[in-house]
Amino acid sequence: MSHAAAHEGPVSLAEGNVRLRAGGGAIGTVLIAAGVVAAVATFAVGIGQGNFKHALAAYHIGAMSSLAVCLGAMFWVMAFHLVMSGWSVSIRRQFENAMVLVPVIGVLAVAGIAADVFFMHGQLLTWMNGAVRQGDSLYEEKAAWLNPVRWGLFALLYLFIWVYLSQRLWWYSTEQDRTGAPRLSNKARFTSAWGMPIFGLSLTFAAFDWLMSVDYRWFSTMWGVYYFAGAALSGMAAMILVLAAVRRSGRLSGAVTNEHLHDMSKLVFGFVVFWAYIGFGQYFLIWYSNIPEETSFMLARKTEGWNALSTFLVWGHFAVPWYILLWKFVRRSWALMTIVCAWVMVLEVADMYWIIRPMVYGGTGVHLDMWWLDLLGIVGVPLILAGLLVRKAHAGPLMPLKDPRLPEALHHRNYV
Amino acid sequence: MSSIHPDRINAERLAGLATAPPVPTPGWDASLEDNPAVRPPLVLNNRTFTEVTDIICGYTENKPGKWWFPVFGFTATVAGCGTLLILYLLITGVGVWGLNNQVDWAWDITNFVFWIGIGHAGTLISAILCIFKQKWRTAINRSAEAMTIFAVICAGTFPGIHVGRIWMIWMVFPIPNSNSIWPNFRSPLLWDVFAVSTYFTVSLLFWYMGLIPDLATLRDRAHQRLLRSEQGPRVPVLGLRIDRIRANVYGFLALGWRFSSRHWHRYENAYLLLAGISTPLVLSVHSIVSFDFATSIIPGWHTTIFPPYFVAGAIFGGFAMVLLLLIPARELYPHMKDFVTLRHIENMAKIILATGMMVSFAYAMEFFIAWYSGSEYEQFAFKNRILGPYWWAWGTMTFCNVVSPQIFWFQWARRSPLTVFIISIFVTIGMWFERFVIIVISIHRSYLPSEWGMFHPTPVDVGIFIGTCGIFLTLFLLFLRFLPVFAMAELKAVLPHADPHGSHGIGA
Repeated sequence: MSHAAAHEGPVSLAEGNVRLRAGGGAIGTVLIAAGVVAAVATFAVGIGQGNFKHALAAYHIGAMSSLAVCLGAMFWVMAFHLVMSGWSVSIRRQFENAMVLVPVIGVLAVAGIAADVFFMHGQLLTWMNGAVRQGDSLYEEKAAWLNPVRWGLFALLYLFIWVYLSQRLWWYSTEQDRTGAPRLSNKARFTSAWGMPIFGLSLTFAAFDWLMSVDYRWFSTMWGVYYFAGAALSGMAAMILVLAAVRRSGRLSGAVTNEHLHDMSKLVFGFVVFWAYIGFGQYFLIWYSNIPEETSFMLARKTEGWNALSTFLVWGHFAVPWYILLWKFVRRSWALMTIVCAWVMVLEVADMYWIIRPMVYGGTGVHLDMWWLDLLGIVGVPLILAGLLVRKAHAGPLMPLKDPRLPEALHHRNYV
Repeated sequence: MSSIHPDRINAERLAGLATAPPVPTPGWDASLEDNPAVRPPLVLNNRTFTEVTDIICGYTENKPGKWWFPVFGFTATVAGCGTLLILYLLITGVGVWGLNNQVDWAWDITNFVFWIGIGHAGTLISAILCIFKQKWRTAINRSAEAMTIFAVICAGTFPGIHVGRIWMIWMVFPIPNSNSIWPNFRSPLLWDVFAVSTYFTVSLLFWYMGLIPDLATLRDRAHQRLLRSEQGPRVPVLGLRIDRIRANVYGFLALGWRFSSRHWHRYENAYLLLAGISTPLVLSVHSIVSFDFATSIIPGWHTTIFPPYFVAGAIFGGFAMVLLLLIPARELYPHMKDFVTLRHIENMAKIILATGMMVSFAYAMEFFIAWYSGSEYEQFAFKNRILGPYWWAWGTMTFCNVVSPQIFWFQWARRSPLTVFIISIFVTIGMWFERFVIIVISIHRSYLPSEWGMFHPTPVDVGIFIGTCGIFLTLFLLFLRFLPVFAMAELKAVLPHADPHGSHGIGA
């Protein structure tokens, strides 16, 4: 889109600009079906080949990456409300669409490892595996936390918090579509205020339970922040991709412009740096202090072929996008940002891969001979998420049409 | 439903295109407008450009209020006493502090981190709010940045004087070899020295560059008065006109600023660049301060969340200090409430609540992971915080940093300057205790029974800390007296009449 399109002139709020064409959601159904098939096939192959652990790890990587998108989107919706942001109103509905998918993606994320905890005796989450934890006094220390009852109840609690918060915020926004009542904006802000700390804690402990406990001996106080950094980054990147697709279909003309993209891209840039800051801080302190209980995690990812992925993350997740996003013309180009954001999404998956996958074969190497199982497992939940997002985008208006701050968004300029 | 920007309302009214707004209810601060369709004004009472200039320059040009000299005299006396105690320390050695074999880092480094935290907040507040285009920053950025400089000066005092045999301090400098000695810093804390000094330099540049147009305004006003009249206040005995001194000093400091569009263009670019540089710098420097502890293997010091936890703590304590300074100032200086509105105070209270929760989150993570780690040493370190002999310090920290800001969930509390002031005092105390808790409680009981000890501060410990508070306040009072307290040029830019496009300029 040219810069001129951001200029004056009434923005059309006609149906043709703020809704996608009816029936276009069919592709969403196809994506969902493909995702379900991939997920089922992953487990079928995994069980069939006697390698449930690998299949579960692959599925879990995709699921946690997808959950990061939904939770990231929820964070952004709450952040926009909290700071009474005006510019973001016209992009907010897409974030809300992703946020409100938390019930589905959350359940899918927890389903795989719940099956491991409750039925497969801890093949991936080895603290559930009697053979592994046998005689391990360290496990005994943690048994009050790492047990199926506590784990299951807390998983339900996290899901409940996310579902409740997302549904409440969704209701305020869609109710405002109907009534136009300005007070609903204030109510959404209030919900975001008390919701944010609860959201932060639930995300952190979910990251402990569903990611960190994959290596139950290991621990890091930074862990929740690390997962959050990736979530906020991939949430924003994913929504740029969604908005780019919506604009390609000729919608949101004048409502979501290069100016909005520019600001979203700045936030992507910011969180690329934030992720690196958190990742580096965690690594550096563990490396420098050199305490065996802590270095085990890093050691496993620096040996047996995993060092290549560690190095790739430093360059791919940080250095390359950081450098590219320094350029203003990139940050203002939908085409280029589509490539950058797709890359960022892939690297978020790579980050989850880096966390989960080394645990599958212990210290015996990368084992890429089953790469197709990795691929099959990883794409499952993301395809379902993509399909649901497509359907959701087709289900209602593409932006909150009666938000009192919408005019600010429609006039948004960066003054550069 | 349309969104009407208050700037536009004001601009239309000033242009005679709209009627005056209804007379506000007495005591109602228009900045507190809570209708999401309306952006509340950032400056109250529809001040014109001239009024803004007159009011802000008036703070330095007119005689200070009757309160200023007694308060300045008091803080300067405290600062002087503190300086004398530092001299006593230098002459006598660090034995005059309460340090002992077990607790060999206590108030010195606690005070350092306390001040450096406050020092980091000012630039962070200013630069981050600038990058996020938060226009309300114009009311607080100048004093926040000034506070940064003064706090870093106070902070820098402590590493300088805590080195032990101060007469051997030349050993840390890379001076030529002498007496077959190879002078060498020989400490990993060298990185902290460079981090803090780089930070100080950039903060000073950021602050000073922002000051330049306002210094030029003060220069020009003094010069105009000189041209207009031969009469005016003079320096006793010397007979030199004070405006002559002003014109020369402010003129020297203004670096030839002439308000040309080219100057403004350069200024805007440089300002944004410095804001962009300052932001990661602040984060990295306070992270490095956290590394002073976290790179060790001492339970209670070594934990991975330290870098962002320290940064959040700095913002938390920094906003509290800004409020501690600005709330009394807005009561004491005429018309300052037009610039530092209740909305500004409310916004800062919200940030204190948010960053207070982040700090609380970090405390919670430390406790949880200490337990989850299964490491008995980690577990002891944290049990000892609550149940050990320093339980009162941990309790004070928790009450001040975790409990007290929770009152800001209530709107009335955020909008009550007195309540915000009291909570800011709590937060400031709490942030000092946070550093004390981390530093002293973590090291006062080590692995062997013989490595258990207590720290008892001496009057010199207490006196030097109070002395630095005196230095800080004295410098801030001088800043209030001699420099523009607000960034006038920026403040004018957020006035409605600065926006010729009316509604086109909507955006916060």
